[in-house]
Amino acid sequence: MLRFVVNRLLLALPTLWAVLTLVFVLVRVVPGDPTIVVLGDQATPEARAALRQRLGLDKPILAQYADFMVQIARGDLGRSLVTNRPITTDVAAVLPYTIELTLAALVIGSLIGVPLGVVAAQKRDGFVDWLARIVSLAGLSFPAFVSGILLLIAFAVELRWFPVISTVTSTDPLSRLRALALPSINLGLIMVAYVTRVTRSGMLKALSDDYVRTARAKGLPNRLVVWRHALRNVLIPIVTVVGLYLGVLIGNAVLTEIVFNRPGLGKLIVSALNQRDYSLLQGLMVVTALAVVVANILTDLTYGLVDPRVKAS
Amino acid sequence: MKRHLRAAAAAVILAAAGVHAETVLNVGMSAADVSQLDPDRATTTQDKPLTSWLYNGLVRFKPGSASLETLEPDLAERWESTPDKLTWTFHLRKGVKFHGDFGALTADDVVFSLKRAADSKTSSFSGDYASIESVEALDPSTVRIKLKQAVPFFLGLVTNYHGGMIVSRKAVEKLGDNFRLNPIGTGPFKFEAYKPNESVTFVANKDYFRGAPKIDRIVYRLIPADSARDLAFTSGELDIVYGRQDQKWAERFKKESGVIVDVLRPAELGMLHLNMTVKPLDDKRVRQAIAHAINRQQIVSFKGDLTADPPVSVVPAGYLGTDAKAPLATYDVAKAKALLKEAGFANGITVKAIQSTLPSMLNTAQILQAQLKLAGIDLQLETVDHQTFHANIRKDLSGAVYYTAARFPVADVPLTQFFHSRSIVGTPTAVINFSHCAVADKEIDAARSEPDLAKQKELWATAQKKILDEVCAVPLFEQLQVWAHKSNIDFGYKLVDAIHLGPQITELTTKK
Repeated sequence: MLRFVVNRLLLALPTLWAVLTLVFVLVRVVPGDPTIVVLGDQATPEARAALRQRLGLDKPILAQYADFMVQIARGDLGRSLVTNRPITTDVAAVLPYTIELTLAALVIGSLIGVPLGVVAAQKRDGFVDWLARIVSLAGLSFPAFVSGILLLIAFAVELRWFPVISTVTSTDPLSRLRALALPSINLGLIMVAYVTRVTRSGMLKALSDDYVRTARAKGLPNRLVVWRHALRNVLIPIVTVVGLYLGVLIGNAVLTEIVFNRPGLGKLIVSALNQRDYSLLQGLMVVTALAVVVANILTDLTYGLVDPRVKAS
Repeated sequence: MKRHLRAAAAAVILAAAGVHAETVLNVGMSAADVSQLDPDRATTTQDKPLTSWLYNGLVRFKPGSASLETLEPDLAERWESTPDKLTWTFHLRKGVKFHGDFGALTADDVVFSLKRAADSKTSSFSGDYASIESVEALDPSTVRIKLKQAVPFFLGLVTNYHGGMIVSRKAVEKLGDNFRLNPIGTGPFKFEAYKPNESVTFVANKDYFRGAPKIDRIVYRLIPADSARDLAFTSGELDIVYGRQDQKWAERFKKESGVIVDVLRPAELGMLHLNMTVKPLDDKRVRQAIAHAINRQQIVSFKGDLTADPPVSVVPAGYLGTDAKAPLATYDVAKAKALLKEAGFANGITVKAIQSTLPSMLNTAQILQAQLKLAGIDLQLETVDHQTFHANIRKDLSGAVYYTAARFPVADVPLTQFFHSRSIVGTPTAVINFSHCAVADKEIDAARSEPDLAKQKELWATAQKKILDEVCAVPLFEQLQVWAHKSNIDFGYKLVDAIHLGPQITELTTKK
């Protein structure tokens, strides 16, 4: 098992290097001059040149690349161009919010999506199947900002069950949960859509396989056939979707965090982009890339848990 | 109803128990984050209002006003100047304390602050303070400022605005770069906490020299999504909100009960700058044709008459020195066509413009495009993202530049930045003279050193007339700032203008 993990980590290194290089290049081809953002539109060219020099933006591009790689190797993400705060501090401040939101969305997605997909496959073309299809279609087609606003109007403005601003100001678990509810439902609905579809199609195939027919012929109760035998075989594609979904989730987390005004990596990315904060943008992309690599490793490890054949190979 | 009863019961119980319920003011701003709270670097719309809560100047704009003609004492209780207005002496108010443990305000802090404002390494407004020859502390409560040359309305430079705000020397030296998000001033509210991408919190400065504020705490919430901000205001989670410069938004919230919409100056003046060094714009008749082909009233109608006004000159209305009777071109398409024909372009012309994709700018440019088309002028828009737009127009790459800006409310500032030859883009001293205009240098320079205000205003009026006559730029509209507040908020003054781009929260502001 340890060897498996080490292998995965070593394989991740070239991926990380490629991602870091891409990040470095992308951030520098983003149009615009950060000095205008920092100094305002009335600053003289002289003042802008002085700032560019102070920030090291006047150095040759290869020197900037070398500085960047050395810095990352030291585990230092640098300082924000705009606020001059260490980027690790800013990231550490918001990362728990993003992790909390992501996990909550994953839990909602799995707890609703898997049973819904299973029942839909069992009752093919029945009421539950239609409902599952509509839910998953809606989840896939509604942009996160539209569903977010609809949720806010219904549950925050009209019913006043939840706050519009999902900023957590207290350490009370109940108020944290209240602030987390709407954003995680919003993000979770998209997850429900993905998981329901994959579960339903996987289950449809599994339920027509020979081993299921054999199980039924042996007289096993339907509950055991469906939930223990068939579902277990469908778990691999479900885990894959959940793992891959983390990438999609980060994209949607940006919108969700903006609409619900919730702190997080997504909101920080938008802020860095708006302010042309190259350093912060670089740091955030590095953190995001790391998160995706770690999620992929975790997904690989989960395969081993749900399917003994993977562990053996 | 139940909610109100519960709130009332809670208030009675708290009052009976002698507990003071904290008064918190929630302000919503359209931004993902603040950049900095250092007054010498705060240039963005989200940063500026905060500086007015934190700092004071030697003199100040009357709260709710953006007029230089009604300035009043702030940290200085009185001042005098020599007849040539080259030497100014300020006598400081006694007993003013900086926030935290940074002690009492002294003349040394004022000297430090003004020198810092004049240094391009520490200030974005250093150019404004270039005329200062020396600043010295005569004693702990007297400051003398000597100027190299007279400055148009010098008092404007020592107001509670930009570099005029006084910082604590000890705090700046102790905090270094961290001062930008750990500001120390003398204002009615002191900085408490900054949560990146979330909020900035301020608490009342109980030692404020004008008296302790009635609001205990201000939470400045950063909410970039318009819809989320509006919903939070509607649901009562915000007391004051940054609005949209949009007629429909203003109309909608005007209809809501318990809401007051604030439409404020100083306005941003939108102008079409015409690059006089490129063909065919080097021909004055062509530029005149463009000016006659533009229907300003139609643009204002499009923007909405609640949130926009017609322009009066190349300087926004209400600035010190604006010529309210400046000769603007009349809308006359036939005359525009005749002028083009006279210039040898009977078949029309093509003008290229680099244009930001920012929706509020792009839609105006598209209206201009449609209006000019009627006169045979093809305005070709090369659309790029907003940051590229800013970079490329400064490289002198555009034939026409549609630009909106608000500036310090004295005519010298927009006239110098947009129309003085020193400011021509692409030169070492460039600011934002996109048109290469140089017809009014003499008047702009003369006005700067003219000690007599009436004569100074005359010189500025002449400069505006010459610039309009040369058609360096065509004024299009004035975009006003839009905010809204709940009717239970009393600012403690009449809110008409907001020099800091947002309502000033003072010691007199209350929330019922």
